[in-house]
Amino acid sequence: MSDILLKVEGLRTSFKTSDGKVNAVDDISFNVRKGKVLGIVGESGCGKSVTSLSVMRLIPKPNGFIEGGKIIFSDKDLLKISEREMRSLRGNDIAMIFQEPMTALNPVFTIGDQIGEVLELHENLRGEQKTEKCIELLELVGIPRPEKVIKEYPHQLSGGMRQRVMIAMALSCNPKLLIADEPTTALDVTIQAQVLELMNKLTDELETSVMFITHDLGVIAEMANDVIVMYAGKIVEEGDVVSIFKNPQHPYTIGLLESRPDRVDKNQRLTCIPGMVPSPFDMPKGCAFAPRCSKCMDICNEKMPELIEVKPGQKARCWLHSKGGHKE
Amino acid sequence: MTQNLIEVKNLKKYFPIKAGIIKRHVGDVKAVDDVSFNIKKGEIFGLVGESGCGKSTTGRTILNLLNPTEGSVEFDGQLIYDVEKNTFTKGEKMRSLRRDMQIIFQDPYACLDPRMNVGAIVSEGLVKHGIAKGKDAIEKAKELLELCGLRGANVNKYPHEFSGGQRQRIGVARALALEPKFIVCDEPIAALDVSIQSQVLTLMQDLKEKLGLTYLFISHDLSVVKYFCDCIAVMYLGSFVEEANSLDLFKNPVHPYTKSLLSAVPISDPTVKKERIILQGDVPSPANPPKGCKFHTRCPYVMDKCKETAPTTKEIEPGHFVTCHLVE
Repeated sequence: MSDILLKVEGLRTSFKTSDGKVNAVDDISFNVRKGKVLGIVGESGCGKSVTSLSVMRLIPKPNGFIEGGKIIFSDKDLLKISEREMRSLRGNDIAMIFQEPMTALNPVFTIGDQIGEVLELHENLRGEQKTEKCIELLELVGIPRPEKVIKEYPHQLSGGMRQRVMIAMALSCNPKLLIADEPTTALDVTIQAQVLELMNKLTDELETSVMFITHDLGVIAEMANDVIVMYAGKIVEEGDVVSIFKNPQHPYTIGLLESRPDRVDKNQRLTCIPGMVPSPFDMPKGCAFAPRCSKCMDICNEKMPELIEVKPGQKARCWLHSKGGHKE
Repeated sequence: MTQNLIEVKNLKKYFPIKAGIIKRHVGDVKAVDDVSFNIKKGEIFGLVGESGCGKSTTGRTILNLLNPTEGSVEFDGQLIYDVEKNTFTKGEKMRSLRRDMQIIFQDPYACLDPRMNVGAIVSEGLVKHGIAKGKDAIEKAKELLELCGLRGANVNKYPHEFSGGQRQRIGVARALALEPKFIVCDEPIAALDVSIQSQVLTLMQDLKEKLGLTYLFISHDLSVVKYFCDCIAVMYLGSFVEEANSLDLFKNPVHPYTKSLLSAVPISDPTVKKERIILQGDVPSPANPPKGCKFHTRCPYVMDKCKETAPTTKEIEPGHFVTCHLVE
């Protein structure tokens, strides 16, 4: 048990809207192991980002709220501690990298100010010491001429450089857990390769655990040790990266993998998942994936299956693997 | 030998940079810098490159939506423009040519007028060109929507009532309304989720076969291009660095930029460990491209010659063109 850094149990996060309550994240449990990368994949609106914001306790109030569950981070339940305690954890022990490097940085402060703020608050560094540490951090993430860059503003940097600044900021206090929410989605492939390599190198060196959220299966295959596949607010499959990619069990995971064009040859047809993600106001009664599933059975439209262990270390939420459903 | 539908010769598009009160011309952004290629009838021609390399500008300049700076474009045996001879197709003649050339845009949220209903959006071209009007036009719009996998009854709805994938289908239906021969697809799937991407790609493929279309497919996603296109050109800072048929390009990439671009694509298979060629730095500004070979600032095989003279394009195998000093 001691190798688990973050344990999430039965997390439920909901949003109040004018059309009623929406369960964005519905009863999710997972573990992040020490020094390992947990990948969370899913399409837009499946609750990936809400999961990560819940761990940070950054769900926008008052419309969003965490209804239940536990988030245990090194023996503390993050949902029970005070806001003040949480604030000292954020940035210090848990840090986050956001998707949009364009909007995540403040346009009216210099890069040095923004990295310096973290160091001032958490490490109590001032003056020259602070500047030195800033330069050191920027060097670490491979930014050329860091002495100049600390005096520049975000708009003077390219997308890849900004994302490096975000990584520098996130790693400034040697966090135990790094949450990366689609860190490379807005970047070009060559820049994405640079950033991924950098993240791999730094998390290895600093032994940071990472929660890596993305919709890109290719990136997951390269970065993650463990994988969670989410659909409509629930985990549909989880396991280690090789079993998920080599031996997927849930029809949604299988469909996602088959719709990747890098897996088919030139003259073959792509297999696609018909239909689209159901609206959160109009969830199907049974399994949320049933209307799009090619293996849908009667029971799928009636009851939501449980997430059960299919093989050691691999779980799937599907009637094909549960009692009550028929195996093929 | 199949006929060329599009012949582009020495196409250039510069955007002037103006400064001062009197808007003095101080330089040019060389968005497209001397590009020549042919697209055969019934072929899908892929254009790949990083953001800002001039892919979209090329597509739009070919359609005469942007005024070319230099060069000529021939469409189906008819000259659209030739800047050197000062011949431009204008007015009524251009308008009738436009019936055969359509475009699908990247952002399905921005390209549909929110105040028009879907019937009006799809049938606008039909009405404009006097092919159908009133009820007939709406009937035709219904047929087109059904062809693109939407219900015909949707004609009275407005764009905000649809999801991203459905909007993109509306965009495709609009492009098909005038029964064009040629469609420029400007990153049609970049803004969509993985499972929806494969749906739209499959739709475009079906339509191509059914209606005998020719596509210019602009994308930054190499795995999509590999699967989808017959012939691929790789662009860097406004020029082609390599052009070949898709199998050749992926089996035997020659230009260092193509090689690194291919190696940067994440593969959705965790058991494959591959050799990465990671490019250093960012793409230089097209307003001030490097002297000599434009890629020399990031090229791992840079030689003295590259910094001085720009390489010429060579045909190393039939149909495989490379612009690099290494192949001389």
